[in-house]
Amino acid sequence: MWSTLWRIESRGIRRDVIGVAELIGFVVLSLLIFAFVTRAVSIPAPLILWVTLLFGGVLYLGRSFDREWASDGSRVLEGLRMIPGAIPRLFWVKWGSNSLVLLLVSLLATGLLMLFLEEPGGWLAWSWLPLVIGLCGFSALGTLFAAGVVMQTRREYLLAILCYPLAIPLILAVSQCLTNGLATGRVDPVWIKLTAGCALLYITVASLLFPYLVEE
Amino acid sequence: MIRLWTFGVVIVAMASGYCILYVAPPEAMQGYVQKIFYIHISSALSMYVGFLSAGVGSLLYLLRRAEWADALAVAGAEVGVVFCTIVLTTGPIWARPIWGVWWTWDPRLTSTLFCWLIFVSYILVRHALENPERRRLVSAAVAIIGLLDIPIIHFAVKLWRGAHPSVKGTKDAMPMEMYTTLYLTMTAVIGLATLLIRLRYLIERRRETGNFLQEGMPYA
Repeated sequence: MWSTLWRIESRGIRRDVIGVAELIGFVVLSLLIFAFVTRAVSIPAPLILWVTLLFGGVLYLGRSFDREWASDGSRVLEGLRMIPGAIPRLFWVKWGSNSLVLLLVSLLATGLLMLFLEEPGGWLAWSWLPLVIGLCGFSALGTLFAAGVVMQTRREYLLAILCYPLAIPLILAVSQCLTNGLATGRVDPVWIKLTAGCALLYITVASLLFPYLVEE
Repeated sequence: MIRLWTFGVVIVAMASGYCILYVAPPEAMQGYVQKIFYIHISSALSMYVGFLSAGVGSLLYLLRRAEWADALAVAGAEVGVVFCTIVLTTGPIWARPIWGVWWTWDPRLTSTLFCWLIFVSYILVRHALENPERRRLVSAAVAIIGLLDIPIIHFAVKLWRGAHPSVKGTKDAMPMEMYTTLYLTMTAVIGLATLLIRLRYLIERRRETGNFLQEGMPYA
């Protein structure tokens, strides 16, 4: 069943290339704006990357279930509901694909950031860990609530209203990890534990709550 | 029952008001501004009562799909937000003369603000989602994750070693009159919070059934 779900999801991503392109476009534009802003005010590159991915991530995650709920694709979800155990697995597939897309876009954004800011990128050696964990945790919350607000008229701002307050501990922990890392040149052990704890909590809770939001 | 509860809350609130003004002595260093402490602490506990009701109600709703549980959750969340707002308002009023600033990014203050934001988003979602079933489900998920944030608030001082004052473990730091006033105010404010949760719960149940004219509904 895992392979079937993953095939459905990867086919959906291929069909919805526009969604990924929109995310990349948003990230590039945000980085350009930050590149202009940092000429006047100094903002550390890892924090620019983290904030850009958070904002772009909400836009992308909001479209997670469009394919399943769209008028021509609604049979996909109806079909999955009839298969015992498919919905809990759907969360893991969706979370995996969303995290993967966000991580790939973050790789692209890192390259662009180094290009725009003329950064040597020495921070990459230690900052990848909090960024990867943070994105995985944030993606779990986004995937959960994307299922909740799908096909709602005001979903764009609803998802942001839901995700950002709930993810504040994670956002704070990653930001603090990156800030302390810039000073010491290594990952802060206390804040990385908090980041990992928050991400683990969000992934666990989201996977447990997901079936309730989808199986109505 | 509600009339009796209201009567009790009014009596205890009047007694606590009298104690705050005339019985509890002003703190030696902080002066009269310290008296805000009684309302601040009591409101913080009432906030926990509200958010706990919201979290437990939401969990029960997800498990049993009982509408009464959803009504309890929304009542708890709204009352919790009211008392959280009081905490976030009285805190800076108390902090300004003592710490010299209206706001500081102290862990407990920050965590309380996070909790406030989470439950404000809960209320916003309840108004934004049109489908009643979807509204209940999504808001229940928000409240459960919000409930998981409450231990972070409670243990924030120990975890992050902030500068927030703590009453625990400082039993000899206050005279008996202050403790009596504090416990009396706590009883009054928590009593008020539970009364408000009960009333809001009844209103929500009536809204769901559409029966606002049913006999036995006080203050309807």
